[in-house]
Amino acid sequence: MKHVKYIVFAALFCAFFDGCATLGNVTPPDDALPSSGAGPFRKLSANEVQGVAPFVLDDAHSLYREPTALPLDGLNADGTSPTMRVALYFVAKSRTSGHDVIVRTHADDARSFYGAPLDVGHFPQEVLAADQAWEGDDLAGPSVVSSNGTIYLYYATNGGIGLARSTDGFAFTKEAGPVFTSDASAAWETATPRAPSVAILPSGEFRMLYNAGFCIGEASSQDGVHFTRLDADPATPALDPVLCPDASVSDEAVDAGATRPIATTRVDDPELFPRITPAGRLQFRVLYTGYTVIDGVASSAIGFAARFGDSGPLVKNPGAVYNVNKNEHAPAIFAWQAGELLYVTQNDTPSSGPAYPAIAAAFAPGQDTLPTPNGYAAGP
Amino acid sequence: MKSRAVFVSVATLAIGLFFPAVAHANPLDTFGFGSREAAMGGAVSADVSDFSANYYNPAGLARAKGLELSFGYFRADHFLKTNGRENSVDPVRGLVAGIVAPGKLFDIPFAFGLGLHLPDDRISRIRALPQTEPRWELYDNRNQRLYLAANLAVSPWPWLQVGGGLSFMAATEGTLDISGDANILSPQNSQLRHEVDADLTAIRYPQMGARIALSKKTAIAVVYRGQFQLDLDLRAKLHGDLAPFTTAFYALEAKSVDAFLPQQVVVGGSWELTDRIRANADFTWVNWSAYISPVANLAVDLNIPPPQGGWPANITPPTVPTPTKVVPIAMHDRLVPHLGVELEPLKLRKIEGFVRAGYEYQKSPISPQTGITNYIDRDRHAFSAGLGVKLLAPLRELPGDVRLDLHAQLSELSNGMTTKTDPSDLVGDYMAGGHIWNVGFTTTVGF
Amino acid sequence: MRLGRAQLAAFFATAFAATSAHASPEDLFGFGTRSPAMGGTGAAHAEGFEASYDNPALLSLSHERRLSLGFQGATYSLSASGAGEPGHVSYERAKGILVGAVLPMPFGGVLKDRIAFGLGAYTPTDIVVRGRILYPETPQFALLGDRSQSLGIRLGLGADVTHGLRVGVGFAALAELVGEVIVATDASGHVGSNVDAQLTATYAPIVGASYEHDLAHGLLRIGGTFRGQLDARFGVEIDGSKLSTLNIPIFNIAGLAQYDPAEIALEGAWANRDWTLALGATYKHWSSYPGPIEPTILCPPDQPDCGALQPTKIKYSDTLVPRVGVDRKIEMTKSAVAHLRVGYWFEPSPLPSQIPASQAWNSPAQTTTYVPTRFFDASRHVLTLGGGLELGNPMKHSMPPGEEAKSRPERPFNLDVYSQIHVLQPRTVTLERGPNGEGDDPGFGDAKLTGTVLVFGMIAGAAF
Repeated sequence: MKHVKYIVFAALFCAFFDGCATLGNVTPPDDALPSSGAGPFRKLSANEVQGVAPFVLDDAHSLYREPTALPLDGLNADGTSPTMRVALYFVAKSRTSGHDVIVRTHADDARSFYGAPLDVGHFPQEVLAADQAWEGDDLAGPSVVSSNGTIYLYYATNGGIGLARSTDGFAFTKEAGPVFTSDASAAWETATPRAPSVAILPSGEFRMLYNAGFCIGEASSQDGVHFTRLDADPATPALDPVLCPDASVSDEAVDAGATRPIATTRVDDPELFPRITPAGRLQFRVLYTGYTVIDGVASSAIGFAARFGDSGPLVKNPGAVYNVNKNEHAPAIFAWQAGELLYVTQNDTPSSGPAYPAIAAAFAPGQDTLPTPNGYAAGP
Repeated sequence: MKSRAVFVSVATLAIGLFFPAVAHANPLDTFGFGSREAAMGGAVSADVSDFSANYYNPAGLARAKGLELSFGYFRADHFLKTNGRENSVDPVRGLVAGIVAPGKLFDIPFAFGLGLHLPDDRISRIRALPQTEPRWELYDNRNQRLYLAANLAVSPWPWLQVGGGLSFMAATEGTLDISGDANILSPQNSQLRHEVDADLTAIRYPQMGARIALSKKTAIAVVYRGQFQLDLDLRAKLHGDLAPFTTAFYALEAKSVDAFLPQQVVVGGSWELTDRIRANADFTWVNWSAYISPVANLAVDLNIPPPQGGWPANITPPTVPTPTKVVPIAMHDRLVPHLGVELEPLKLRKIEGFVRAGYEYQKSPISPQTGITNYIDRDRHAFSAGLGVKLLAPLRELPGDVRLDLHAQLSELSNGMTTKTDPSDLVGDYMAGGHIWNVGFTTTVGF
Repeated sequence: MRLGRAQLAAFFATAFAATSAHASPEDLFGFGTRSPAMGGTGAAHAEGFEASYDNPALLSLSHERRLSLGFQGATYSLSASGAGEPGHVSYERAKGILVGAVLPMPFGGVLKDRIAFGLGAYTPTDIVVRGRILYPETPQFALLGDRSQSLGIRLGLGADVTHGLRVGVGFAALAELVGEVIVATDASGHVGSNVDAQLTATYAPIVGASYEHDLAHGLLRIGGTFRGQLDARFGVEIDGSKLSTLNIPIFNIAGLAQYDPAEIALEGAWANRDWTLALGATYKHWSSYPGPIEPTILCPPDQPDCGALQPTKIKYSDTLVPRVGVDRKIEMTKSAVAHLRVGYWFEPSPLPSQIPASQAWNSPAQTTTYVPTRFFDASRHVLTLGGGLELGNPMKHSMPPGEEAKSRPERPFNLDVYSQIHVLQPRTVTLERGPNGEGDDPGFGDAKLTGTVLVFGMIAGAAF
């Protein structure tokens, strides 16, 4: 027993010196931090995408562009997808007709899409082409949303915004005419409505944002077919848009610390993705393309604007959420538990030959790293 | 006698002013120092005489009966969440140790003490984040550091003890110079060299305390802990060529306060209610309003002229970045109550046993984060409990005593909602809250 | 003179013929005041907290608690002359505070009066550690100047085993800085940085032993100490690759800010009532010193010989430092004892006489070139001198009767001072050109090195 006591005391003594470690374990920063789910985004790195990062769909002939994302496994209560399976609908130049059509593909990891450049021999599947007189020759700016088992695909044409519906995501049935066209009572609309983005609010109401000139307007619908324009500022007699460009800021003001606006000439390509915040407020979140001119050179960036409540003008975040000086535009977003992927059209600049548009991906939160991509999806 | 007392007090203070005590109180403010003290909610400023007096009240060192060596370990795990998801805030864990060496100088009780918290992972961590990035401001980085304090104390009269020390920690300043040729087509073939001129500079702050015995069963205490801040001042300069295109000049200066400890004043009391029950209360005023934002002020100078013929199409040249305006952090002074009780249900010839409990409450000093900054914090209720056993003369070689104390502390950070004024804020509304478990032990050998 | 491994035994036999070296303040000047006044000896006679560095086994000689406080300063006058050399090489004065404590453990039974704990620290007055890693063409006495600007902490535990045998263990600690700085513009074009760095501790063991025996009306003690290699690295990665689409490399800003080689000190000391004489030598393993600087660009694992600039490798040599010291004790009154101390050591330089050139980028010529590596060092002759006073309690006479007897120990106060002069043995080093004679710097060729270092220290202590 006496020896046991000595051993215990000796062990405690040794533990004292053994404790002197302090050897510099590096620990990662905190994770799962709160976010509005709107970036800022960083472009994907070489380890996060197959092929040439940050592009996920890239074809010099088909000119993939203007994507919209559809989660394939439904949505959680917080609006995020339970998995990384996602379908993209986007514009491509048809290999047969040479006109712009809407195609579809999908990926099981949100990055390795069927028909990507290194998925040799496969191509995205064409799901919609212009075949009505009011549409003209080319389709553009798709926006896809799912409600009660029906997939609604809105798209831009010469004659306004059209709608096609499907139950399987491949075979679509078009409305006979456009569901949203020009309206002379909206003075700010200087062009035919285009670039639709449609989302379904918690109330079940369809809400559309669109471009019709230099600004972005808003319209609502109960059935997804018949839309009514909304006035962002009922206090004025005119029908007001929800988002317009800002005034320019001088170089001197920027040097003094002012933020240079990302949109001084046009706002375009809205991507509407509303949510209920943890505080229970409806947050009307919108990504958009902002165009400006710096030192005589036109440039674009992806911005974020939002409002609380279901009506009124949008407030811009002063900075960009994605900006790589590659003519980036037409954002689409896909959110799941670990973060958000931004799909965006931007120029691919090969070492030889002219630049052409392709679909790149960026991720938020920026300090996290995506897992290694899977193999390409088995079908579109 | 009075002249001797004054002489010794002055000498103690003079020595204290030069004595190199390394101290950094953040982890101990939150998790306590020593298991007995942590179990009693940190309410011990008038009732401490072991190594933990180095933190709670240096005057207590002069009450030690003989040489004491203490060592132990604690680990605090954070379970802090935002929007229902764990934020993986690093645990605080490490050794605690200390020495109390009492004696007599000019026949006046005098003591020297050392206290140490040595983290397992690092002496301290520098983590400067953008001001918009959410972080648990009081728990994420500030507690990741060493505490080492040395103090002197005297007891010129039996009813009075005074003590103090000077503490310091290291701030960082340095200049990095990189020159040569950065090859942007083949970075690994860059012909670059560097030069470093960096100092870890000493930051000093005082701590001092006094204890007055009003009677055999009642004592009061007052303690002051000074303020300090750790500056991080880094300058980097890159100058040379960007092969094969052009030349480059890039200068960066980052100035920030890596850690800030506000000054504190503690007023406490201890009452021996019966032979076997003691109750303590401390009230700590913390000058949080002096807190300095931990965000770096960055100044950048960049000059990369375009090459002859312009940039290749696949290269986007860097543009002169816009400086960031730092939004100051708004914090409020707080009065933190600590309550503790100690029972001695077991008292035999060779062994004594103790049961302890404590509570403290810190109202969050950080203003609601409705703007672009996200310094997350919540009100903290800390409930603690502990056990202690004291073996009297357990070995012939240990004629004094051996003590083993255990503690567990649960800090509950009440859930609260942060709502943003700006709907386009990139962080948005969030719910935050959680709890922290802190467990540990301390062993003391008294001679 | 430098050592090869095969020659080690021969150098122990001819200790006085050896060379020179230096590192942290303790390694440069000694630790405390008594040992530095006695030629840096102490492995066989150290007293008080100084033993935590000289030989922790000798902590067990202490039987009273004692606190010590003092300061130490050093001034440099160093010069390098020759074509392209600057002449005077400037270094800031080194000054700092010394603190020490020795605490005998009052165990009972068989451990009674056998074990003591000691700690000592030297801290520069305004900094904790200086990491200065200069471009190689900058004239620098790299092993001498800035290495005195460093916090040194030593802790030890000594035990009196039996029959004159004592053993001790301890460690030295330093802080080093490692981390990462990511500089990037965020999506909005604002420049931001993430700094994630940490101070970590680096430790080196100290192990000592001594054996003592009565001899010639005195006591002969043989002592030996091993001190492990103690280095502090500065390592920060700067990642600016996210500033733009330019493929900027990641910078590895790193080097050794402080370095003490592994050492073995062997010593014999004879002491009687009035005299202490010590003679010993310290072996320093400088040949494992990697040099102060690391490459700015690290080659990827699959390209170990990539084209990035690599720092020049210098072959440092092991050294042997002979030491001698004397202490004369003079009892002036019953309560006042004086000490006079003198000593000498010779510190050979581990630096070779031929120093290879370093690579650099020649921007006008757009090519790699060579510059002289101006790492200077020379062997040093060190003369030491010191004194001390042990004093009784000056307030004893004002104490009431009866309190005097309680005032222990007999001479609780001590005051010690020392001074050293380090004279650099004049030396010529050759700064070589590139392997094929490259380099047009006028500094290539011979450089003559001279200089002195003056050191002063003082400590006051009190037993309690």
